[in-house]
Amino acid sequence: MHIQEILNAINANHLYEYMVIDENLQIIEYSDMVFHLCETSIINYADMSLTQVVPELYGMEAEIEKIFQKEREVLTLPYIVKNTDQYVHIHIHPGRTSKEKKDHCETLIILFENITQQANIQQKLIQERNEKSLLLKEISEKNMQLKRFNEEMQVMVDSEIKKSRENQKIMEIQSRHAQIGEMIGMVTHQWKQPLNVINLIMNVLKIKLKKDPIEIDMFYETLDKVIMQVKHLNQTVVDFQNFFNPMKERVQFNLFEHIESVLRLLESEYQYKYIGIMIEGDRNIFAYGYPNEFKQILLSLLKNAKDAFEENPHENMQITIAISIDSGHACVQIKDNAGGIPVNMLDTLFDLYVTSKKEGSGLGLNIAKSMVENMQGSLTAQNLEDGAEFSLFLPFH
Amino acid sequence: MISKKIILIGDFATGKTSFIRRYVDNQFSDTYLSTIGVKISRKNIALEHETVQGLIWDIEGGTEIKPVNTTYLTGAHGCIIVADITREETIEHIANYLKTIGDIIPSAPVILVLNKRDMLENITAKNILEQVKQQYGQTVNDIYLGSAKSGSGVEEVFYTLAHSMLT
Repeated sequence: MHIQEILNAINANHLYEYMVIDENLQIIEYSDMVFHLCETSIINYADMSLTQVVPELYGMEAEIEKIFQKEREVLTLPYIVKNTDQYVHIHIHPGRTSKEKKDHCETLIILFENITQQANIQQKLIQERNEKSLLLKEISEKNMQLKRFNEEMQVMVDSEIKKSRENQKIMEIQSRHAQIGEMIGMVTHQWKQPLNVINLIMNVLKIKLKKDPIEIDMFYETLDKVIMQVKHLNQTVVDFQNFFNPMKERVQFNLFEHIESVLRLLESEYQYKYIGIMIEGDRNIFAYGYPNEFKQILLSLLKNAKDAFEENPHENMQITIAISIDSGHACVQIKDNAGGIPVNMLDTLFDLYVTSKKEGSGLGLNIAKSMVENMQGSLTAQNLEDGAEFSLFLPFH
Repeated sequence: MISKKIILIGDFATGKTSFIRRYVDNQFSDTYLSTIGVKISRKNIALEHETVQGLIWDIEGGTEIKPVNTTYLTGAHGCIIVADITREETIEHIANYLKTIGDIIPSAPVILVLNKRDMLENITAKNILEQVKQQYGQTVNDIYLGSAKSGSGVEEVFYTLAHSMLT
């Protein structure tokens, strides 16, 4: 088919616009509408240089020459956006072959395929794909940021927990020191009575010795009385000594015996203040935990009751300690008739720094509760008709 | 006047079109519109003793599934690789573009642009620039921080490239 016939067919289809160039890259023929896809300001391309009209081919002269030499079949530049906002594929094909040199072309045909419609669809798809990709990237970065933020938060939380634990420890130590101070007061009280008794016995003995020689039996009897009082003094010291000796392992311990050892230290002070203390219930119940911490908790609860009586004294001040088994737990209930806990404090009673006392620190019950929980137990409080009741539940053995 | 074909390549959405638009029309838009194929813009670049007509090819950004069409690079006299300073992977892909350029137009000078510097703190942008310089400083003609949004670095990039293409 003659080249002109091909060009006519292309022209008739309106799918392509074309140019024909010679070996000097001069435009020798073109379709009428090709200027729509080229430099719009130029409408007569005859004898113009190819790269002036199609700047996309600038720099590709060597490749175009290869087509003239038949070293290359075709050159295609896809998706070229023209100034008219139209997309074209530019194809360069061999044209007429030289009559003298069969391996050489005299002309080349440059086809401009208008692909605006399909390019617009493709542009949309690419846009969506790229936006999705950017969004995914952004989500991934946000996730990373969130992860880093969580890690930083965890470090801060761990640090705060550590600080809080250290503060709790300090508070426990301070509270313990305060309890030791009180215990020393109690020991002093506790010692006064046997010391008085010993003093009395010795004075009586001295007077008797001055008057008459005494019988040896009576002398031994007197000595026994003194030894008994010394034993009592010694027991007080032993109880005090054991009181604050921290135990690292949980053990089984008899609730009654440990309550009794606390009461031995307290009894004279409470007697002095006319506060009666009574233990009731089963004497053979064993709990599982830290006995010395149990005694400190008990001491703290009894001290609260004593303080409540000081603010609300009456003639029949009574504390009852009841030992029982309740729902599979060893239970110790401390009831008093000191008027009860202010109702507005019941919900926050065990919170740190919450106190109803004028000079209270708000540490005692908070520390008592954490000690109980450390033994996998629980501590609750409620008001009774005329006082308060604290219930201490511990694992039962 | 000498004409020179300058190509801008890099990953998609690194700001190549915006970079050219800032240079040619001194305009900027935040709206992202993906380029497909290629669009050519022209601008005269005035050097000390002569002026170069830049035929600036804005080439569709490459992705992992659709790399840059290398036909567009044929006959280019200079290259600008554009990376997004806020997207690490676009900086990592610089090596791939350098290889493509080396295969097709080995003698063309190359300028590297870390675009969107306005989105990072100065100190962070400079730290990244130093890292990129350590990695590619010997391979390319120059490396710039740039911002199509603010215009920072845009003129310098084209001026330096035009200068390199003539020497």
